[in-house]
Amino acid sequence: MFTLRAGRRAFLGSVLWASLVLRRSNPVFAQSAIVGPLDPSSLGTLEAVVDAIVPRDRDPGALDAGVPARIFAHLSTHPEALRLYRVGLELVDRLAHQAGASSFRALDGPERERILSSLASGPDSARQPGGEFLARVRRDVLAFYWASEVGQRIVGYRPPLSGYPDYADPPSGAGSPQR
Amino acid sequence: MTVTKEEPFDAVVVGSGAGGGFAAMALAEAGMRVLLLERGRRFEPGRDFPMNHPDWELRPRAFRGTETATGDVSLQLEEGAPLDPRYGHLRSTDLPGTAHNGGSRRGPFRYDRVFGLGGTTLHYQGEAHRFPEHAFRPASRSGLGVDWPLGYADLARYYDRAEHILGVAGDPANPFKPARGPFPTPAHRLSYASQRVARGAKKLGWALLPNSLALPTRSVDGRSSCQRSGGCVQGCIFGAKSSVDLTAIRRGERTGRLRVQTDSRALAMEMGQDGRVGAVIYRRANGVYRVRARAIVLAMGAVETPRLLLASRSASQPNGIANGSGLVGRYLMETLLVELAVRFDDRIDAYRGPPIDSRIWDFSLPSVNGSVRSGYVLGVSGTAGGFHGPMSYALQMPGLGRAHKEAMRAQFGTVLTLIGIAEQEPRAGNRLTLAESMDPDGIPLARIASSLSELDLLALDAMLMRLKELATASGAVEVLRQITTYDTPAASHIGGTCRMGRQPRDSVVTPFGRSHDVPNLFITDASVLPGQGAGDSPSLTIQALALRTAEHIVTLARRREL
Repeated sequence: MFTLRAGRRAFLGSVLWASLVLRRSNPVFAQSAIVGPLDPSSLGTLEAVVDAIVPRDRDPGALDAGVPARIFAHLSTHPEALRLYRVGLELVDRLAHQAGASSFRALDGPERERILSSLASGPDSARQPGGEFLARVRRDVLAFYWASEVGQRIVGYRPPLSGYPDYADPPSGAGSPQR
Repeated sequence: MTVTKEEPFDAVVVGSGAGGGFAAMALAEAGMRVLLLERGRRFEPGRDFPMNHPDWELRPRAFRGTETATGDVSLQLEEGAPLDPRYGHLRSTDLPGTAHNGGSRRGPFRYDRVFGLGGTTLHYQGEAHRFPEHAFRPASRSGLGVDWPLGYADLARYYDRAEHILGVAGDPANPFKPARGPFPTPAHRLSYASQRVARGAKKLGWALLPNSLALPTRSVDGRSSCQRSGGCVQGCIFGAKSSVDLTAIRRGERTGRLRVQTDSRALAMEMGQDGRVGAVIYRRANGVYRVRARAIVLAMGAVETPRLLLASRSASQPNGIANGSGLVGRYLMETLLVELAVRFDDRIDAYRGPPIDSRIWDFSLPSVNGSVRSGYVLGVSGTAGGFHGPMSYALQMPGLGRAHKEAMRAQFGTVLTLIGIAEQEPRAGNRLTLAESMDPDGIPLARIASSLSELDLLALDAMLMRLKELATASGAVEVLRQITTYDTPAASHIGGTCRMGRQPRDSVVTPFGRSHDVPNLFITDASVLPGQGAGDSPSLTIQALALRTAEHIVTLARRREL
């Protein structure tokens, strides 16, 4: 079942958010070149979180699409978001320790997903730091990934750069164009 | 405060949306010198609109911050009216039963509009409807609402002219509309979304017909034809959508007699000793100005126009300007709306094509039979509800990780939205008044009280039932979201706060849009509408009325009666 997370207003809010995080002046740059607000350990945890939210499978994942670099660029200019990320990254590492792992990075994919999902469980989780972090990082990763050409290609989406004037590539089950 | 005096004009038009832009053009083309004041800025499609970028979903909408009540400080949001528990099934929900509004009252009033040259046509979806003949006589025909002081025949030639200015695309073979000749440009082919729903409508014996759209299918006036990008709401990067800035205002500017002044907000009107509006006071970034004109035309929409009238009160006009009837602000009509986002098992790619390219008018004739009400239209929207590109899908799908990615592969492009829109019963108690708190310009905020009548609830009930039938017949496998104005008010088609009529005691303006009280004051926006066209979109009717009002102003000026 496709269960929705939020209504239209929330969607519009997410679009507004997306407009805030877009860094027009910062093209996607190589992760190796990043010098920014997170220490190497936290950066490693962030990459593991990003990979858990959109993992590489038969198609490229969020790491392949350069999502950490986009998030990093955003955190460099948004101290409030940076504070939330620091708290969240420390938290997931702590939860990984409690699960017997050396770090969040050391966990396999399903365990990472389990820990992240646990941040959204419980009453009032959305107002807790863990819940806030999950909502934020999930939104960031999904937006940067699915708005990228990598994500678009996976679902066969062609942006309307020149519109859809020819009705080419009809989807399955479409009838012939009619008036 | 220093106020700079401007040279007088023949006419000052305040507001550049559907009505203001058309009035300004018509006055200038008739030879008058016109000043058009617009609070927002001018937008350039190629520069300002985002959809020519691959990552357009991440980019800011050009109209950000101007579109809704939350984006400006015009409205004082109030607690909504209590919900009628008999109609609890109308609650807005996401599956599995998550309520948008879990309370016992309606949510706050939400006002969809844009500040910018062209007004709300900048983000409208181009619906260009002639109201059917019965929509002008709802009280006589079915006992609903109020009869208009004019009929379809009075507007027909203005509809013709407006359609040609806009290059409206449509199919004249619509049995639910008055007989007519060809549209200026041929109808769009049905989108994939509408093709799918057409199959369901056919099973039900309903006629799903091409919508008439101000999205020309051929080049008009040197502009591109519609490229079916689906980006009308974001702003058409091709400049193909016939927003008023690119059509009527551009024509008006070509005369050399229309001066367009953006970033200019009207603050007040001054009354003269002769009972006429003596001047309009407006603000720009560099100061406050005062301009006189023989005719003042207000076209700021159904919230801002009554707000300015009420706020311009004085010792001689203690209830505000043009308010001898006490009706300025009353008979507010919001938008009775039902939206069902439904999922199919296979790809539809509903995001391709005009966003709302088909309509079902089978139930548009208003009537009440027991608990069943008609007087609404149904339609298909490819992008409503936020289902557009992959990013918007992904953000609305639950979960994360492998399952989320797999769901995206399986379900992207499988959602469309069915919509129903009805006419709200106009009632005096639904009204706009002024709050005590003020905006930064010192103008009191608008305060809106609006509730739903039994007839309104019956309309929502009927639309929901019909849309569910249509979803099932079309092969939808799941209703993802149900949005209704039962608990979530909408106001994309708001109107009625300065209604027209023949008698000064029961209306604010004449059938020509002229104030009953102030002879050089005219209104050409949705506030003059006595009804909502049985669910049709109002912009073309506003434009036709604006052309008619402008013609009347020119006639009065030539007779030296202004």
